[in-house]
Amino acid sequence: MAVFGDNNIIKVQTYCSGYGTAQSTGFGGYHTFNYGQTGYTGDRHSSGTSVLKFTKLSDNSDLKVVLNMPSYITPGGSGVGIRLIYSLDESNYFTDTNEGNGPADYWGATGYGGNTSDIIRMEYNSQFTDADQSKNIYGHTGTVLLQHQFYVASSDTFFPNTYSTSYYKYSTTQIFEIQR
Amino acid sequence: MAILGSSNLFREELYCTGQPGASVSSSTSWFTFNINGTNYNGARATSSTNVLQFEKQSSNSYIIVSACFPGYITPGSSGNGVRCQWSLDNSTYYIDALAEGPNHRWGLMGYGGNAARITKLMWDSRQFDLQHSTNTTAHTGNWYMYFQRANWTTDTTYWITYAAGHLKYGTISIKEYLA
Repeated sequence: MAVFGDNNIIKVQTYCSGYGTAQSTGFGGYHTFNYGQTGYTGDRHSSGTSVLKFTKLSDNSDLKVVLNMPSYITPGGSGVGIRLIYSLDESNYFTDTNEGNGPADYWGATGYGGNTSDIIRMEYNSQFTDADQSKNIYGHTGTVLLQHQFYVASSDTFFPNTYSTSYYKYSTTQIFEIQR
Repeated sequence: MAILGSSNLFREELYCTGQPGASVSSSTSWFTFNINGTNYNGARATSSTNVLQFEKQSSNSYIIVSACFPGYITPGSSGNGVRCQWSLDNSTYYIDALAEGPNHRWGLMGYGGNAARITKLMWDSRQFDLQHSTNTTAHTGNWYMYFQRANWTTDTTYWITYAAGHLKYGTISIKEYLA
């Protein structure tokens, strides 16, 4: 059996958001998820502690990005969307889909059932983004920057991570680099 | 120190459903849903692009399958479920580990009114072996899998994409661990 070949996992990097004050958000616009709170872990970029930095080793590999994000939406009459944005040049970003609204559209990651607490979990797949956005994460080596973003679709209030300083929460991200 | 030993994760293959058309169902029966939308990826069986194919390399390993599927249920007075069917030869298929899937036909989403969610599922081939008296741990070569959905009573569920103007996608990964 080959030790390194197709589909071998060649690198894993983990990140934690830390905990802190609430980032409660209302309707409209994409917001970058605050990933630089007290005790955060994992590499960050100089442009901000919410900018995750991953050094990609191979020019023949894909990324799997796993997000676990505790959340609370109220009153939950509508929903929230999530998306991931990438940069390969430390400046210009592109979204995980051509439509720009992430895996569950701008409203389908949580909500619609009244007040709702949830842990939003998603496994992003860069191979899909390469195809949908005509990008080449696959062939890129070196720095990849990533930010998690969310969108509140209507008149709800959304609390990613911490609800209040009396109820701390935190999120995690794992990035897997997988040989193609 | 051994480089490779029990429980080492040594392979992982990624799959994406692409952005399929809306799969709207009010049925309480199990139906296969599409994972072959625009820009889908990952190896597929020659028989159908809705069937995942994974090449299991070791004769002493188990696999873990994880999936993220967006969904929307309405009115959500009851629930829904997802199960898999799997095969070692793309001919004889086994139903999951339990006939109604890991969350039963009512326990994946629902019971709280309308609900949107990215559902998360995970399967362990060792559970398949226990329930079906198979020996997938020793199998080498291709592994095949597809996914089915059902409602418990009178709800309607939109699996992955809600409508053409609201495209969504799901992802799946299959990992191979040394036993």
